[in-house]
Amino acid sequence: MWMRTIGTRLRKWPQLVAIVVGSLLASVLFPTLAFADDPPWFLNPASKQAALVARLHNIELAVAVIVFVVVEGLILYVVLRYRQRTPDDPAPEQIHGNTLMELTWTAGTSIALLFVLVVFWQTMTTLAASPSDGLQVIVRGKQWWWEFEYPEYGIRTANELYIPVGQPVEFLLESDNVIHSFWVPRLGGKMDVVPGQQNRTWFQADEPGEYHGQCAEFCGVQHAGMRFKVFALPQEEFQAWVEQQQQPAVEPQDELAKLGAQLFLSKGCAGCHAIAGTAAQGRVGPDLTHFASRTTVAGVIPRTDESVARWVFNSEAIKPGNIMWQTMKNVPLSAEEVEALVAYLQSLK
Amino acid sequence: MATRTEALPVPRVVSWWSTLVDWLTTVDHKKIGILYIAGGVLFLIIGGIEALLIRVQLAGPERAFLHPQTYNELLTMHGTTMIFLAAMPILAGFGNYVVPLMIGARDMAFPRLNALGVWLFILGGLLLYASFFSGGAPDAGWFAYAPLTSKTFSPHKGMDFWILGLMVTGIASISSSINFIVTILNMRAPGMKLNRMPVFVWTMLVTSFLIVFAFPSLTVAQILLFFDRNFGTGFYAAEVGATPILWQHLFWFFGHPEVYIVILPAFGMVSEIIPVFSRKPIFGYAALVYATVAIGFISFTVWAHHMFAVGLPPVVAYAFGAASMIIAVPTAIKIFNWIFTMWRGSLRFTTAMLFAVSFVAMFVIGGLGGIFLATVPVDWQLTDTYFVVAHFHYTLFGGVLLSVLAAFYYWFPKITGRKLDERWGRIHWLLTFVGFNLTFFPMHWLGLDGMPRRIATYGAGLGWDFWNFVATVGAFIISAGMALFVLNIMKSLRNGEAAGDNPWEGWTLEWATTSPPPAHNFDGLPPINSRRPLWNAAEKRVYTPDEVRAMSERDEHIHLPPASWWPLVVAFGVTAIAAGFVYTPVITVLGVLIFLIGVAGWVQQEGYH
Amino acid sequence: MTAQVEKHGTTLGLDHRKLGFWTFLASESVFFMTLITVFIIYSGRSTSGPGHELLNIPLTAFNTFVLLTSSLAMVLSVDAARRGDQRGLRFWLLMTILMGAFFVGVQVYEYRKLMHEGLTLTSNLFGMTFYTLTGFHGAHVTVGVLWLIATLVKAWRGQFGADNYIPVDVAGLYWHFVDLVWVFIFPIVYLIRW
Repeated sequence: MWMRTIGTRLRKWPQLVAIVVGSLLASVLFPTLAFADDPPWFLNPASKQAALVARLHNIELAVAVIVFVVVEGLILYVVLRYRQRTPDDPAPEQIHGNTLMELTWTAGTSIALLFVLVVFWQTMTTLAASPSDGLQVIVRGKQWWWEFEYPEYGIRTANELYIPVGQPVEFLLESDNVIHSFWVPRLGGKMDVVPGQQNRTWFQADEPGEYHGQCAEFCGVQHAGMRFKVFALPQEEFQAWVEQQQQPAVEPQDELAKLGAQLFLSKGCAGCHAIAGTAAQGRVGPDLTHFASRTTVAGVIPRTDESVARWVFNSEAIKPGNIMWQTMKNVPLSAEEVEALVAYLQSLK
Repeated sequence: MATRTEALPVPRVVSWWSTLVDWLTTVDHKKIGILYIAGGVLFLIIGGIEALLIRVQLAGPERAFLHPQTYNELLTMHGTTMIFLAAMPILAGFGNYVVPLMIGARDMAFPRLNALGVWLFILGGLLLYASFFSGGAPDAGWFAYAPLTSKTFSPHKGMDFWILGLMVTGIASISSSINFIVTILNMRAPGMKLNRMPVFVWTMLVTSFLIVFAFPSLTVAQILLFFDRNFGTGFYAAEVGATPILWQHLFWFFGHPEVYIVILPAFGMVSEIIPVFSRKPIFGYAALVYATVAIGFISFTVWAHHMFAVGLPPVVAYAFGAASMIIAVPTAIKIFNWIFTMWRGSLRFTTAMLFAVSFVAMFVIGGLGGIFLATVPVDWQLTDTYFVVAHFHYTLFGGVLLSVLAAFYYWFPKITGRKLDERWGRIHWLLTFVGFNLTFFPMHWLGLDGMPRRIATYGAGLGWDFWNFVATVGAFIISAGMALFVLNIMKSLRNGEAAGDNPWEGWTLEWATTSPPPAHNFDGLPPINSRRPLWNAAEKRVYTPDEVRAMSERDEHIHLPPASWWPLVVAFGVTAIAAGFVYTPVITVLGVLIFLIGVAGWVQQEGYH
Repeated sequence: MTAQVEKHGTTLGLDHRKLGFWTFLASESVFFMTLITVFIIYSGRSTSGPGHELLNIPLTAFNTFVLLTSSLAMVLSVDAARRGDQRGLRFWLLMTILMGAFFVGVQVYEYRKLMHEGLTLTSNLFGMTFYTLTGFHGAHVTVGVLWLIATLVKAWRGQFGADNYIPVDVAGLYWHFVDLVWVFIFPIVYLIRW
């Protein structure tokens, strides 16, 4: 029977272990192959804070690799060298211990740890110094989207965070529902968004670019859908963005969009969403004043006419369990009405 | 207690009915151990199926195999099941079976309390699983962070089932721990001094103390949560001035010792297996025992390392991080002790030994991952990512499960009288070892690449697709191994190779009796003058079973406690009391009645003190 | 004691039941320490509603005195059991039960009065932590009273004696523990103004 044969062959297990461990080690060098275009790999930092943490990580990795090679090497050596050759090998010498050896590895481990603890402390103290002159952004974790408010500029936006390059930005984290965690891997570590307490964190992006962010604390059905993007812009571009966002919503031009604007009020959308300069002042869902300046719908799909239509018509199919659907499922919309709403939303540059 | 000298009862199976009655009323620690293990393995399989469903969902980006709500329920049940219904009962089962034998005792100190524990575990587990058929399983994670667990955010009764089911099994854990502590401290055979106890007995002792001191914190946390959900209080509600962070402190004050509650007995198991198959005594017994005790103490001082991102003051966070790292010292001592037990030995690579050595090799990886997570700034990046999933699966799967599998192959002959098939065993080991590493090693990369835990799906283009697929493939390889294992058990129970008293040439007392042992464990005990009572130091070999019998002084004073229905009745009462809170109060009233009848019968039963 | 040891041949020379019960009480201590910690953490954090000022401290002080005295009665009943003094055992058990029941009665009276004055379990954080902490303690006292009643019934049937007094001893351990917990709860909840 084949299994019996394999089982018998497996007596040569040391070679097999060597193959397995070898391929494991090889895979250490392999992860870069599986990379996509722009992974949120935190060891490729784009801010001073993230760079410090990556440095601490790399020092620990060096220590860990040394320990790994020594200990696993020792295990491999011992199991290969001391395996029983014949069933009637004599019993080995009965060693009960060796105080000197035991003291050596206790001391060795302690010294390695002490080294890590020192670097750890240095990084901690450097990171603790928070800036006084930063831009402040209030970050609100919602189920399941992010609201970003710039009190200085009077701007509120959703799921897309714009920050200036080369300037510290301080984030004030608030939640009126469950615990979330604010995280942009390449810019800085996590900070939880806890109801009843205002946590703070900050970072300073050093390179312009688009960064992946995501809620990192389990927060309910659509935890996975609570993604956001960070756009770090050079100062002038950031200022231009601020001025654009400060404008009230553009008036709808064509007939379809005008119909959409009416439907937005009459179908109850305005109960939850705000559009500056109109009667829509809801604060439950994202502010849609400049909806068409965003790249995504609900943080999860690229914004196109087609995807906005799908979202308006049946958001449950895109983000199952989302809270808007609890109301929307009772609001019948015809294809024409969806089209009009899409036209209106897509006009809100 | 009257000492009697009449002939020992010979267990004779008359019919399936009397067999059933025999198991339902047993107070024999060996049968109870088997019940714990069987129940635990059943839940292990269920938890494994849940894990497979999760892996299928995550095999590729934006998959819709599972609804996110279902995913969250499976995620919660997988964690809860593996910790409370698989790891703890299986370890308690081996402890139950082996510890009294190892210290030369006839049974546990409180045989009926022991039976009560196993029934509470099984009924509590069933109560938890009843949630699937009663409106929805718990969905807020096994860590159940407030306020996601509140009535507002988790309106169906799943979390209530979670609270009550775990409370019932919690009573089981505390009662069995008290039993272990009394048994180990108070029922050792003459000559079995504390410093001669097998390391596994030591680890069971320390684990039992951890359970006794850690579980009340979980119980309080759950009581307060239950009040919040059902009686309108707001212990975790920010609106009334409370803080949801309280839950995290209470939960992790239990939750971190819990990690050691399951890993210490696993340490104990390999500390028995590696020496026997190296034919050398354990290297540095004293250091190993002190390290176990030290880990037990330190485990109560590190709970906030699960909470570095909640906004702790930096100095507090640093202190908890540093304390966590200190655990690396006793752990490293153990690792080196195991390695140097093999050093200059004569290693016999049975399946048990393969699993035990793999445990050492894999646990090193888990431990190293822990160093990254203990340094607070790195933890801010890695916490709640797949790096953590990789880390704790290297400690819980690579640690607990691999050593439990080693223990299966090692003690199965003692328990059943037959060996598991070694050839199948080696294939089982290979599949498990390869599948395990394929599943969990890539998760380190996923964590470094920013993939959060507990997400039901993920977007394409982030570099997560490939390794998630690999992990799913690995999970199926593990499953194939586990299927083979179950087949091996069924096959070997029927026609496995007969084991004899001492198939592995072990030297602890469980090998001094027949396989399986008689109801009273030993006809007599050999003299206990060292840590290895069955080791012939002069000739550097273990005594043969005949020699052991010749050395043993026959004990004529054997008294075995009578079988009892009352543990089962009391367990039903307790479970009904709990079930009434989620179904209808009438059940609670009935439960109280059953409970009182059970207690009255228990107290009045003849044959006990 | 010696008779006991010879009979059971325990390694530590301590009866299983007592050793086991001490372990159980260790677990119970953590349970109450956790509840007390929650009370302390949340003291002074109520956002509205009545608080500490409603508590009738003289009444509870008297109640504390009664509970402490009941421990003395318990000591005397265990001592009587050990000496095989059946009458003394029954008398002091009865006294302990009466004082324990009095304690519970006063607590019920106190609860009714507080609820009447507007402090309920859901009023505010003070109400939640106060009722939970003192309630779980009261439940423990109630269980203790029931246990002692069952012990008294057995004592009446003459089931205890100098060679079999451990069950009374264990019940006594529980009773002293419940008392001791109250010694912590009383000042923390009633005397200290957080």
